[in-house]
Amino acid sequence: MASLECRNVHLRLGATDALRGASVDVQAGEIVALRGRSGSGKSTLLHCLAGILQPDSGSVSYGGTRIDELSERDRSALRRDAFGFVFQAGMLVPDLPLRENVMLPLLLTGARRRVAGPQADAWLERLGLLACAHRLPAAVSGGQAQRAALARALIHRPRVVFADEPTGALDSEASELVVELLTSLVRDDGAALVLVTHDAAVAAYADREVMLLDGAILQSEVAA
Amino acid sequence: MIGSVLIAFRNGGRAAAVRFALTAAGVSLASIFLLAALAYPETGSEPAGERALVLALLSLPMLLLVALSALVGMRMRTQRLAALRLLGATPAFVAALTALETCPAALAGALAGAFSFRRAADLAGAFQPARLPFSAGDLEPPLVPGVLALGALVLLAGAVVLLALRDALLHPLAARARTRSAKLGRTRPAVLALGLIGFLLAPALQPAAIAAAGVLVSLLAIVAGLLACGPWLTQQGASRALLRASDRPSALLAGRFIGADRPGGFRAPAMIVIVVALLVGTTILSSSLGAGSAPSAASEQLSGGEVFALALLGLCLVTGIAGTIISAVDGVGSRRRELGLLRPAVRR
Repeated sequence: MASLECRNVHLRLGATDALRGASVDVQAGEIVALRGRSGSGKSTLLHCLAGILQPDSGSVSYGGTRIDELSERDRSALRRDAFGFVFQAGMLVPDLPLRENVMLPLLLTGARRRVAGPQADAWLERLGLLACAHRLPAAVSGGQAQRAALARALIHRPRVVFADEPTGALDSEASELVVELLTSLVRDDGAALVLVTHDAAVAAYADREVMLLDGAILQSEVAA
Repeated sequence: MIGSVLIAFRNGGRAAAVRFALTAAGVSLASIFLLAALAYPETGSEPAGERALVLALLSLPMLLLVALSALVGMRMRTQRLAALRLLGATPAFVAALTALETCPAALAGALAGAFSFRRAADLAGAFQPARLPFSAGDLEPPLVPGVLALGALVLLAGAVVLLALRDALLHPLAARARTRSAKLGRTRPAVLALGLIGFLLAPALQPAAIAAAGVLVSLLAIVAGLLACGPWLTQQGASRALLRASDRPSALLAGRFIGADRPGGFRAPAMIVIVVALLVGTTILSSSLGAGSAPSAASEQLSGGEVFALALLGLCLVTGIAGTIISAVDGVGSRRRELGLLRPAVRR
Protein backbone atom coordinates (compact mmCIF):
# COMPACT_ATOMS: atom_id res chain seq x y z
CA MET A 1 0.00 0.00 0.00
CA ALA A 2 1.29 3.43 -0.88
CA SER A 3 2.01 5.37 2.28
CA LEU A 4 1.99 8.71 0.53
CA GLU A 5 0.84 9.56 -2.96
CA CYS A 6 -0.08 12.47 -5.14
CA ARG A 7 -2.04 12.26 -8.36
CA ASN A 8 -2.02 14.74 -11.22
CA VAL A 9 -1.15 17.69 -8.97
CA HIS A 10 -1.26 21.17 -10.49
CA LEU A 11 -0.14 24.28 -8.63
CA ARG A 12 0.29 27.81 -9.91
CA LEU A 13 2.48 30.15 -7.86
CA GLY A 14 2.07 33.73 -9.08
CA ALA A 15 2.54 33.67 -12.83
CA THR A 16 4.39 30.34 -12.84
CA ASP A 17 3.00 26.84 -13.24
CA ALA A 18 5.07 25.33 -10.44
CA LEU A 19 3.55 21.86 -10.83
CA ARG A 20 1.93 20.50 -13.99
CA GLY A 21 0.23 17.17 -13.37
CA ALA A 22 2.85 15.64 -11.06
CA SER A 23 2.14 12.14 -9.70
CA VAL A 24 4.35 10.33 -7.19
CA ASP A 25 3.96 7.33 -4.86
CA VAL A 26 6.09 6.83 -1.76
CA GLN A 27 5.84 3.42 -0.12
CA ALA A 28 6.23 2.92 3.62
CA GLY A 29 9.93 2.64 4.47
CA GLU A 30 11.02 3.81 1.01
CA ILE A 31 13.59 6.54 0.36
CA VAL A 32 12.68 8.65 -2.66
CA ALA A 33 14.91 11.39 -4.04
CA LEU A 34 13.25 14.24 -5.97
CA ARG A 35 15.77 15.64 -8.42
CA GLY A 36 15.79 18.31 -11.06
CA ARG A 37 17.24 21.65 -11.97
CA SER A 38 16.59 24.80 -9.99
CA GLY A 39 12.96 25.84 -10.51
CA SER A 40 11.88 22.39 -11.69
CA GLY A 41 9.30 22.16 -8.90
CA LYS A 42 10.91 19.57 -6.64
CA SER A 43 10.62 21.64 -3.43
CA THR A 44 7.07 22.65 -4.36
CA LEU A 45 6.15 18.98 -4.84
CA LEU A 46 7.65 18.16 -1.43
CA HIS A 47 5.63 20.97 0.15
CA CYS A 48 2.44 19.62 -1.44
CA LEU A 49 3.19 16.06 -0.28
CA ALA A 50 3.77 17.38 3.26
CA GLY A 51 0.54 19.37 3.34
CA ILE A 52 2.38 22.67 3.54
CA LEU A 53 1.04 23.91 0.20
CA GLN A 54 -2.42 23.17 -1.18
CA PRO A 55 -2.56 22.07 -4.84
CA ASP A 56 -4.92 23.87 -7.19
CA SER A 57 -6.08 20.51 -8.54
CA GLY A 58 -5.23 16.85 -8.18
CA SER A 59 -5.03 14.88 -4.96
CA VAL A 60 -2.52 14.22 -2.19
CA SER A 61 -3.17 11.27 0.14
CA TYR A 62 -1.48 9.78 3.16
CA GLY A 63 -2.61 6.32 4.29
CA GLY A 64 -5.75 6.68 2.22
CA THR A 65 -6.71 10.08 3.69
CA ARG A 66 -6.87 13.05 1.32
CA ILE A 67 -4.45 15.60 2.81
CA ASP A 68 -5.56 18.30 0.39
CA GLU A 69 -9.11 18.07 1.76
CA LEU A 70 -8.12 18.38 5.40
CA SER A 71 -8.63 21.58 7.35
CA GLU A 72 -5.61 23.70 8.29
CA ARG A 73 -5.90 22.41 11.84
CA ASP A 74 -5.92 18.75 10.74
CA ARG A 75 -3.00 19.26 8.36
CA SER A 76 -1.06 20.86 11.22
CA ALA A 77 -1.89 17.85 13.40
CA LEU A 78 -0.72 15.49 10.64
CA ARG A 79 2.60 17.35 10.33
CA ARG A 80 2.98 17.30 14.09
CA ASP A 81 2.20 13.61 14.59
CA ALA A 82 3.22 11.75 11.44
CA PHE A 83 5.77 13.86 9.58
CA GLY A 84 9.29 15.09 10.27
CA PHE A 85 11.15 17.87 8.50
CA VAL A 86 14.77 18.69 7.73
CA PHE A 87 15.27 21.77 5.60
CA GLN A 88 18.38 23.34 4.12
CA ALA A 89 18.55 26.13 6.69
CA GLY A 90 17.70 23.70 9.47
CA MET A 91 14.69 25.81 10.46
CA LEU A 92 15.83 25.59 14.06
CA VAL A 93 14.25 28.10 16.42
CA PRO A 94 17.12 30.57 16.86
CA ASP A 95 16.47 31.49 20.48
CA LEU A 96 16.13 27.94 21.80
CA PRO A 97 19.21 25.82 22.63
CA LEU A 98 19.69 22.64 20.61
CA ARG A 99 18.21 20.49 23.40
CA GLU A 100 14.97 22.46 23.50
CA ASN A 101 14.79 22.59 19.72
CA VAL A 102 14.93 18.80 19.70
CA MET A 103 12.28 18.63 22.42
CA LEU A 104 9.85 20.83 20.44
CA PRO A 105 7.93 18.15 18.48
CA LEU A 106 7.22 16.28 21.71
CA LEU A 107 6.23 19.46 23.55
CA LEU A 108 3.84 20.36 20.76
CA THR A 109 2.08 17.03 21.22
CA GLY A 110 1.56 17.91 24.89
CA ALA A 111 4.49 16.00 26.42
CA ARG A 112 5.96 17.37 29.65
CA ARG A 113 9.48 18.75 29.74
CA ARG A 114 10.61 16.07 32.17
CA VAL A 115 9.49 13.44 29.64
CA ALA A 116 10.75 15.19 26.50
CA GLY A 117 14.11 16.20 28.00
CA PRO A 118 15.63 12.73 28.48
CA GLN A 119 14.45 11.68 25.01
CA ALA A 120 16.12 14.73 23.51
CA ASP A 121 19.30 13.96 25.43
CA ALA A 122 19.29 10.41 24.08
CA TRP A 123 19.00 11.68 20.51
CA LEU A 124 21.66 14.32 21.03
CA GLU A 125 24.00 11.69 22.44
CA ARG A 126 23.28 9.37 19.52
CA LEU A 127 24.23 12.15 17.11
CA GLY A 128 27.27 13.28 19.08
CA LEU A 129 25.76 16.59 20.15
CA LEU A 130 25.39 16.18 23.89
CA ALA A 131 28.35 18.48 24.58
CA CYS A 132 26.67 21.38 22.80
CA ALA A 133 23.10 20.61 23.89
CA HIS A 134 22.75 23.93 25.69
CA ARG A 135 24.17 26.10 22.93
CA LEU A 136 22.03 28.21 20.64
CA PRO A 137 21.93 27.24 16.93
CA ALA A 138 24.02 30.29 16.04
CA ALA A 139 26.82 29.07 18.33
CA VAL A 140 27.34 25.69 16.64
CA SER A 141 28.64 24.69 13.22
CA GLY A 142 26.36 24.14 10.23
CA GLY A 143 26.89 20.39 10.44
CA GLN A 144 26.02 20.32 14.14
CA ALA A 145 22.91 22.42 13.56
CA GLN A 146 21.80 20.11 10.78
CA ARG A 147 22.35 17.05 12.97
CA ALA A 148 20.21 18.71 15.63
CA ALA A 149 17.57 19.25 12.92
CA LEU A 150 17.78 15.51 12.19
CA ALA A 151 17.20 14.70 15.85
CA ARG A 152 14.25 17.10 15.92
CA ALA A 153 12.79 15.55 12.77
CA LEU A 154 12.99 12.02 14.17
CA ILE A 155 12.41 12.31 17.93
CA HIS A 156 8.65 11.76 17.67
CA ARG A 157 9.13 8.71 15.37
CA PRO A 158 7.42 10.15 12.26
CA ARG A 159 6.22 7.82 9.51
CA VAL A 160 7.45 10.11 6.73
CA VAL A 161 10.46 12.44 6.85
CA PHE A 162 10.71 15.31 4.38
CA ALA A 163 14.19 16.64 3.68
CA ASP A 164 14.60 19.67 1.40
CA GLU A 165 18.24 20.03 0.35
CA PRO A 166 19.39 18.91 3.82
CA THR A 167 23.04 19.15 2.82
CA GLY A 168 22.77 22.28 0.70
CA ALA A 169 24.59 24.52 3.18
CA LEU A 170 27.26 22.01 4.24
CA ASP A 171 30.73 21.14 3.04
CA SER A 172 31.26 17.72 1.43
CA GLU A 173 32.47 16.02 4.62
CA ALA A 174 29.62 17.27 6.79
CA SER A 175 27.23 16.64 3.93
CA GLU A 176 28.18 12.97 3.71
CA LEU A 177 27.89 12.54 7.47
CA VAL A 178 24.44 14.15 7.59
CA VAL A 179 22.99 12.19 4.68
CA GLU A 180 24.39 8.91 6.02
CA LEU A 181 22.87 9.61 9.40
CA LEU A 182 19.55 10.68 7.90
CA THR A 183 19.12 7.62 5.69
CA SER A 184 20.31 5.12 8.31
CA LEU A 185 18.11 6.58 11.05
CA VAL A 186 15.10 6.61 8.76
CA ARG A 187 15.73 3.01 7.72
CA ASP A 188 16.19 1.93 11.35
CA ASP A 189 12.82 3.44 12.18
CA GLY A 190 11.07 2.01 9.12
CA ALA A 191 9.96 5.49 8.08
CA ALA A 192 9.72 6.78 4.51
CA LEU A 193 11.98 9.60 3.37
CA VAL A 194 11.25 12.14 0.64
CA LEU A 195 14.52 13.85 -0.17
CA VAL A 196 14.89 16.88 -2.42
CA THR A 197 18.40 17.28 -3.78
CA HIS A 198 20.28 18.41 -6.83
CA ASP A 199 23.34 16.42 -5.71
CA ALA A 200 23.76 13.03 -7.41
CA ALA A 201 25.93 11.78 -4.54
CA VAL A 202 23.12 12.46 -2.08
CA ALA A 203 20.49 10.98 -4.38
CA ALA A 204 22.55 7.77 -4.53
CA TYR A 205 21.40 6.97 -1.00
CA ALA A 206 17.77 6.75 -2.20
CA ASP A 207 15.87 3.65 -3.27
CA ARG A 208 14.31 5.54 -6.16
CA GLU A 209 14.93 8.79 -8.02
CA VAL A 210 12.16 10.96 -9.42
CA MET A 211 13.30 13.53 -11.98
CA LEU A 212 11.29 16.70 -12.47
CA LEU A 213 11.38 19.20 -15.30
CA ASP A 214 9.29 22.37 -15.43
CA GLY A 215 6.83 21.10 -12.82
CA ALA A 216 6.23 17.70 -14.41
CA ILE A 217 7.64 14.26 -13.64
CA LEU A 218 10.22 13.44 -16.30
CA GLN A 219 11.05 9.93 -15.13
CA SER A 220 11.02 7.73 -12.05
CA GLU A 221 13.60 4.98 -11.72
CA VAL A 222 15.07 2.70 -9.12
CA ALA A 223 18.46 4.00 -8.02
CA ALA A 224 21.50 2.01 -9.03
CA MET B 1 0.76 23.53 28.13
CA ILE B 2 4.21 23.29 29.67
CA GLY B 3 5.80 23.41 26.23
CA SER B 4 4.13 26.70 25.52
CA VAL B 5 5.51 28.20 28.68
CA LEU B 6 8.97 26.98 27.81
CA ILE B 7 8.80 28.65 24.42
CA ALA B 8 7.04 31.76 25.65
CA PHE B 9 9.49 32.73 28.35
CA ARG B 10 12.69 31.95 26.51
CA ASN B 11 14.84 35.04 26.22
CA GLY B 12 14.54 36.33 22.69
CA GLY B 13 17.31 38.95 22.93
CA ARG B 14 16.74 42.35 21.33
CA ALA B 15 13.42 41.36 19.80
CA ALA B 16 12.03 40.41 23.20
CA ALA B 17 13.32 43.65 24.73
CA VAL B 18 11.63 45.77 22.05
CA ARG B 19 8.38 43.89 22.39
CA PHE B 20 8.50 44.15 26.17
CA ALA B 21 9.16 47.91 26.10
CA LEU B 22 6.39 48.67 23.61
CA THR B 23 3.83 46.51 25.36
CA ALA B 24 4.71 47.83 28.82
CA ALA B 25 4.58 51.44 27.58
CA GLY B 26 1.17 50.95 25.98
CA VAL B 27 -0.36 49.24 29.00
CA SER B 28 1.26 51.74 31.35
CA LEU B 29 -0.37 54.67 29.53
CA ALA B 30 -3.70 52.88 29.39
CA SER B 31 -3.48 52.16 33.14
CA ILE B 32 -2.97 55.84 33.93
CA PHE B 33 -6.14 56.80 32.04
CA LEU B 34 -8.13 53.98 33.51
CA LEU B 35 -7.09 54.78 37.07
CA ALA B 36 -7.82 58.46 36.45
CA ALA B 37 -11.31 57.47 35.30
CA LEU B 38 -11.87 55.36 38.41
CA ALA B 39 -10.51 58.01 40.75
CA TYR B 40 -12.41 60.85 39.16
CA PRO B 41 -14.31 62.56 41.99
CA GLU B 42 -17.75 64.15 42.01
CA THR B 43 -17.22 67.90 41.94
CA GLY B 44 -20.62 69.52 42.37
CA SER B 45 -21.91 70.56 38.97
CA GLU B 46 -19.09 68.86 37.09
CA PRO B 47 -20.28 66.05 34.81
CA ALA B 48 -17.83 63.63 36.44
CA GLY B 49 -19.47 60.48 35.07
CA GLU B 50 -19.19 61.55 31.45
CA ARG B 51 -15.62 62.70 31.83
CA ALA B 52 -14.66 59.51 33.59
CA LEU B 53 -16.20 57.56 30.70
CA VAL B 54 -14.23 59.56 28.16
CA LEU B 55 -11.03 59.01 30.16
CA ALA B 56 -11.72 55.28 30.25
CA LEU B 57 -12.30 55.25 26.48
CA LEU B 58 -9.08 57.18 25.97
CA SER B 59 -7.16 54.31 27.51
CA LEU B 60 -8.01 52.15 24.49
CA PRO B 61 -5.86 53.98 21.88
CA MET B 62 -2.86 53.39 24.15
CA LEU B 63 -3.19 49.71 23.37
CA LEU B 64 -2.09 50.53 19.83
CA LEU B 65 1.43 50.27 21.21
CA VAL B 66 0.64 46.71 22.24
CA ALA B 67 -0.64 45.90 18.74
CA LEU B 68 2.46 47.53 17.28
CA SER B 69 4.67 45.42 19.51
CA ALA B 70 2.93 42.27 18.28
CA LEU B 71 3.53 43.19 14.63
CA VAL B 72 7.13 44.26 15.27
CA GLY B 73 7.74 41.08 17.24
CA MET B 74 6.31 38.93 14.48
CA ARG B 75 8.54 40.53 11.87
CA MET B 76 11.59 39.94 14.03
CA ARG B 77 10.75 36.32 14.69
CA THR B 78 9.60 35.05 11.33
CA GLN B 79 11.93 32.04 11.46
CA ARG B 80 10.80 31.06 14.94
CA LEU B 81 7.09 31.32 14.16
CA ALA B 82 7.44 29.56 10.80
CA ALA B 83 9.44 26.75 12.43
CA LEU B 84 6.68 26.20 14.97
CA ARG B 85 4.09 26.07 12.20
CA LEU B 86 6.23 23.63 10.23
CA LEU B 87 6.42 21.34 13.24
CA GLY B 88 2.66 21.22 13.44
CA ALA B 89 1.62 24.17 15.58
CA THR B 90 -1.68 25.62 14.35
CA PRO B 91 -1.99 29.35 13.57
CA ALA B 92 -4.26 29.68 16.62
CA PHE B 93 -1.61 28.07 18.82
CA VAL B 94 1.11 30.41 17.55
CA ALA B 95 -1.14 33.43 18.06
CA ALA B 96 -2.09 32.26 21.57
CA LEU B 97 1.57 31.75 22.37
CA THR B 98 2.37 35.30 21.26
CA ALA B 99 -0.52 36.61 23.36
CA LEU B 100 0.81 34.67 26.34
CA GLU B 101 4.21 36.28 25.85
CA THR B 102 2.49 39.66 26.15
CA CYS B 103 1.23 39.02 29.68
CA PRO B 104 4.44 39.64 31.69
CA ALA B 105 5.11 42.89 29.81
CA ALA B 106 1.49 43.96 30.19
CA LEU B 107 1.61 43.19 33.91
CA ALA B 108 4.80 45.21 34.29
CA GLY B 109 3.18 48.06 32.34
CA ALA B 110 0.07 47.97 34.53
CA LEU B 111 2.16 48.14 37.70
CA ALA B 112 4.29 50.95 36.27
CA GLY B 113 1.11 52.80 35.29
CA ALA B 114 -0.33 52.44 38.80
CA PHE B 115 2.93 53.67 40.31
CA SER B 116 3.14 56.62 37.88
CA PHE B 117 -0.45 57.59 38.60
CA ARG B 118 0.19 57.54 42.34
CA ARG B 119 3.37 59.60 41.96
CA ALA B 120 1.60 62.14 39.75
CA ALA B 121 -1.25 62.44 42.26
CA ASP B 122 1.27 62.90 45.11
CA LEU B 123 3.03 65.56 43.05
CA ALA B 124 -0.25 67.41 42.57
CA GLY B 125 -0.96 67.11 46.28
CA ALA B 126 2.42 68.59 47.17
CA PHE B 127 1.40 71.94 45.67
CA GLN B 128 -1.10 74.25 47.31
CA PRO B 129 -4.18 73.45 45.25
CA ALA B 130 -5.71 76.94 45.39
CA ARG B 131 -8.06 76.28 42.46
CA LEU B 132 -8.40 72.55 42.94
CA PRO B 133 -12.01 71.60 43.64
CA PHE B 134 -10.91 68.43 45.40
CA SER B 135 -7.82 67.27 47.20
CA ALA B 136 -5.21 65.06 45.66
CA GLY B 137 -6.33 62.39 48.10
CA ASP B 138 -9.57 62.22 46.13
CA LEU B 139 -7.54 60.83 43.25
CA GLU B 140 -7.30 57.50 45.00
CA PRO B 141 -8.91 54.82 42.83
CA PRO B 142 -10.91 52.26 44.83
CA LEU B 143 -8.68 49.24 45.49
CA VAL B 144 -10.74 46.32 44.26
CA PRO B 145 -12.11 47.97 41.08
CA GLY B 146 -8.61 49.33 40.43
CA VAL B 147 -7.00 45.90 40.65
CA LEU B 148 -9.77 44.38 38.56
CA ALA B 149 -9.40 47.11 35.93
CA LEU B 150 -5.65 46.58 35.69
CA GLY B 151 -6.19 42.82 35.45
CA ALA B 152 -8.71 43.36 32.68
CA LEU B 153 -6.23 45.61 30.93
CA VAL B 154 -3.62 42.84 30.96
CA LEU B 155 -6.14 40.44 29.43
CA LEU B 156 -7.18 43.11 26.93
CA ALA B 157 -3.53 43.49 25.89
CA GLY B 158 -3.47 39.77 25.09
CA ALA B 159 -6.69 40.12 23.11
CA VAL B 160 -5.24 43.08 21.18
CA VAL B 161 -2.26 40.92 20.21
CA LEU B 162 -4.59 38.21 18.93
CA LEU B 163 -6.45 40.86 16.94
CA ALA B 164 -3.21 42.31 15.52
CA LEU B 165 -2.02 38.85 14.47
CA ARG B 166 -5.14 38.40 12.37
CA ASP B 167 -3.23 40.64 9.99
CA ALA B 168 -0.34 38.18 9.92
CA LEU B 169 0.23 35.24 7.62
CA LEU B 170 1.54 32.43 9.82
CA HIS B 171 2.60 29.83 7.26
CA PRO B 172 5.04 26.93 7.78
CA LEU B 173 7.36 28.42 5.17
CA ALA B 174 7.17 32.03 6.35
CA ALA B 175 5.52 34.34 8.84
CA ARG B 176 4.83 37.85 7.65
CA ALA B 177 2.28 40.64 7.49
CA ARG B 178 -0.29 40.18 4.76
CA THR B 179 0.30 42.23 1.66
CA ARG B 180 -2.31 44.93 1.23
CA SER B 181 -3.16 47.20 -1.65
CA ALA B 182 -1.03 50.33 -1.82
CA LYS B 183 -3.96 52.35 -3.19
CA LEU B 184 -5.54 54.94 -0.94
CA GLY B 185 -9.05 54.64 -2.39
CA ARG B 186 -11.92 57.01 -1.59
CA THR B 187 -13.45 55.57 1.57
CA ARG B 188 -10.49 56.05 3.87
CA PRO B 189 -9.94 59.79 3.24
CA ALA B 190 -13.72 60.30 3.28
CA VAL B 191 -13.91 58.93 6.84
CA LEU B 192 -11.11 61.27 7.93
CA ALA B 193 -12.69 64.27 6.19
CA LEU B 194 -16.11 63.57 7.72
CA GLY B 195 -14.51 63.27 11.14
CA LEU B 196 -12.74 66.61 10.77
CA ILE B 197 -15.87 68.37 9.50
CA GLY B 198 -17.92 66.85 12.30
CA PHE B 199 -15.36 67.93 14.88
CA LEU B 200 -15.60 71.52 13.64
CA LEU B 201 -19.39 71.64 13.39
CA ALA B 202 -20.56 69.45 16.28
CA PRO B 203 -19.86 71.91 19.14
CA ALA B 204 -22.43 74.32 17.66
CA LEU B 205 -25.23 71.76 17.90
CA GLN B 206 -28.00 72.05 20.49
CA PRO B 207 -28.67 70.68 23.06
CA ALA B 208 -25.29 70.20 24.68
CA ALA B 209 -25.67 66.41 24.98
CA ILE B 210 -26.02 66.06 21.20
CA ALA B 211 -23.03 68.34 20.70
CA ALA B 212 -20.97 66.18 23.07
CA ALA B 213 -22.05 63.01 21.31
CA GLY B 214 -21.23 64.59 17.94
CA VAL B 215 -17.75 65.54 19.11
CA LEU B 216 -17.14 62.02 20.41
CA VAL B 217 -18.31 60.37 17.17
CA SER B 218 -16.22 62.82 15.16
CA LEU B 219 -13.17 62.02 17.25
CA LEU B 220 -13.69 58.32 16.66
CA ALA B 221 -14.00 58.97 12.90
CA ILE B 222 -10.77 61.00 12.98
CA VAL B 223 -9.00 58.18 14.81
CA ALA B 224 -10.32 55.60 12.31
CA GLY B 225 -9.43 57.86 9.37
CA LEU B 226 -5.90 58.44 10.66
CA LEU B 227 -5.38 54.73 11.10
CA ALA B 228 -6.73 54.01 7.63
CA CYS B 229 -4.94 56.80 5.77
CA GLY B 230 -1.83 57.01 7.90
CA PRO B 231 0.04 54.00 6.52
CA TRP B 232 -0.60 55.20 2.98
CA LEU B 233 0.41 58.78 3.76
CA THR B 234 3.58 57.84 5.59
CA GLN B 235 4.66 54.92 3.44
CA GLN B 236 3.64 55.76 -0.10
CA GLY B 237 4.05 59.51 0.26
CA ALA B 238 7.52 59.31 1.78
CA SER B 239 8.56 56.53 -0.56
CA ARG B 240 7.51 58.39 -3.69
CA ALA B 241 8.99 61.68 -2.49
CA LEU B 242 12.34 60.02 -1.86
CA LEU B 243 12.36 58.21 -5.18
CA ARG B 244 11.62 61.45 -7.03
CA ALA B 245 13.92 63.62 -4.96
CA SER B 246 17.22 62.05 -5.88
CA ASP B 247 19.00 59.60 -8.17
CA ARG B 248 21.33 58.52 -5.38
CA PRO B 249 21.34 54.82 -4.47
CA SER B 250 20.69 55.72 -0.83
CA ALA B 251 17.46 57.52 -1.81
CA LEU B 252 16.40 54.57 -3.95
CA LEU B 253 17.03 52.09 -1.14
CA ALA B 254 15.41 54.26 1.53
CA GLY B 255 12.37 54.87 -0.69
CA ARG B 256 11.90 51.18 -1.39
CA PHE B 257 12.44 50.22 2.26
CA ILE B 258 9.87 52.73 3.48
CA GLY B 259 7.36 51.61 0.86
CA ALA B 260 7.74 47.98 1.94
CA ASP B 261 7.64 48.60 5.69
CA ARG B 262 4.00 48.16 6.64
CA PRO B 263 4.52 48.13 10.42
CA GLY B 264 6.56 51.30 9.93
CA GLY B 265 3.64 52.89 8.15
CA PHE B 266 1.37 51.89 10.98
CA ARG B 267 3.75 53.39 13.52
CA ALA B 268 3.25 57.05 12.62
CA PRO B 269 -0.57 57.17 12.65
CA ALA B 270 -0.58 55.07 15.80
CA MET B 271 1.52 57.69 17.48
CA ILE B 272 -0.68 60.47 16.12
CA VAL B 273 -3.73 58.74 17.56
CA ILE B 274 -2.00 58.33 20.90
CA VAL B 275 -0.98 61.98 21.03
CA VAL B 276 -4.50 63.12 20.04
CA ALA B 277 -5.94 60.95 22.81
CA LEU B 278 -3.43 62.30 25.31
CA LEU B 279 -4.18 65.89 24.43
CA VAL B 280 -7.93 65.36 24.76
CA GLY B 281 -7.46 63.54 28.05
CA THR B 282 -5.20 66.09 29.61
CA THR B 283 -7.42 68.94 28.39
CA ILE B 284 -10.40 67.33 30.11
CA LEU B 285 -8.44 66.80 33.28
CA SER B 286 -6.92 70.27 33.44
CA SER B 287 -10.17 72.05 32.55
CA SER B 288 -12.17 70.19 35.17
CA LEU B 289 -9.51 70.50 37.81
CA GLY B 290 -9.42 74.20 37.24
CA ALA B 291 -13.21 74.60 36.95
CA GLY B 292 -15.17 76.49 39.56
CA SER B 293 -12.14 78.29 40.75
CA ALA B 294 -12.27 81.74 42.18
CA PRO B 295 -9.77 84.34 41.08
CA SER B 296 -7.07 84.60 43.65
CA ALA B 297 -3.47 85.51 44.02
CA ALA B 298 -2.65 81.86 43.57
CA SER B 299 -4.16 81.88 40.06
CA GLU B 300 -0.97 83.50 38.87
CA GLN B 301 0.76 80.27 39.80
CA LEU B 302 0.26 76.83 38.42
CA SER B 303 -2.58 75.11 40.21
CA GLY B 304 -2.29 71.56 41.48
CA GLY B 305 -4.59 70.38 38.70
CA GLU B 306 -2.50 72.03 36.03
CA VAL B 307 0.63 70.53 37.47
CA PHE B 308 -1.05 67.14 37.54
CA ALA B 309 -2.19 67.50 33.93
CA LEU B 310 1.24 68.70 32.81
CA ALA B 311 2.97 65.87 34.65
CA LEU B 312 0.62 63.36 33.07
CA LEU B 313 1.10 64.86 29.62
CA GLY B 314 4.88 64.90 30.04
CA LEU B 315 4.98 61.31 31.26
CA CYS B 316 2.75 60.08 28.45
CA LEU B 317 4.57 61.97 25.74
CA VAL B 318 7.96 60.80 26.94
CA THR B 319 6.74 57.21 27.00
CA GLY B 320 5.11 57.57 23.58
CA ILE B 321 8.21 59.12 22.08
CA ALA B 322 10.34 56.40 23.65
CA GLY B 323 8.06 53.80 22.09
CA THR B 324 8.44 55.47 18.70
CA ILE B 325 12.21 55.61 18.99
CA ILE B 326 12.38 51.98 20.11
CA SER B 327 10.29 50.81 17.18
CA ALA B 328 12.28 52.98 14.77
CA VAL B 329 15.52 51.52 16.10
CA ASP B 330 13.97 48.11 15.66
CA GLY B 331 13.19 48.98 12.03
CA VAL B 332 16.80 49.93 11.38
CA GLY B 333 18.07 46.92 13.33
CA SER B 334 15.97 44.47 11.39
CA ARG B 335 17.49 45.77 8.17
CA ARG B 336 21.02 45.70 9.51
CA ARG B 337 21.82 42.61 7.52
CA GLU B 338 20.37 43.95 4.25
CA LEU B 339 22.17 47.25 4.72
CA GLY B 340 25.40 45.44 5.60
CA LEU B 341 25.22 43.45 2.40
CA LEU B 342 24.60 46.59 0.41
CA ARG B 343 27.35 48.65 2.03
CA PRO B 344 30.14 47.57 -0.35
CA ALA B 345 27.92 48.40 -3.29
CA VAL B 346 27.12 51.94 -2.19
CA ARG B 347 30.51 52.79 -0.71
CA ARG B 348 32.46 55.08 -2.95
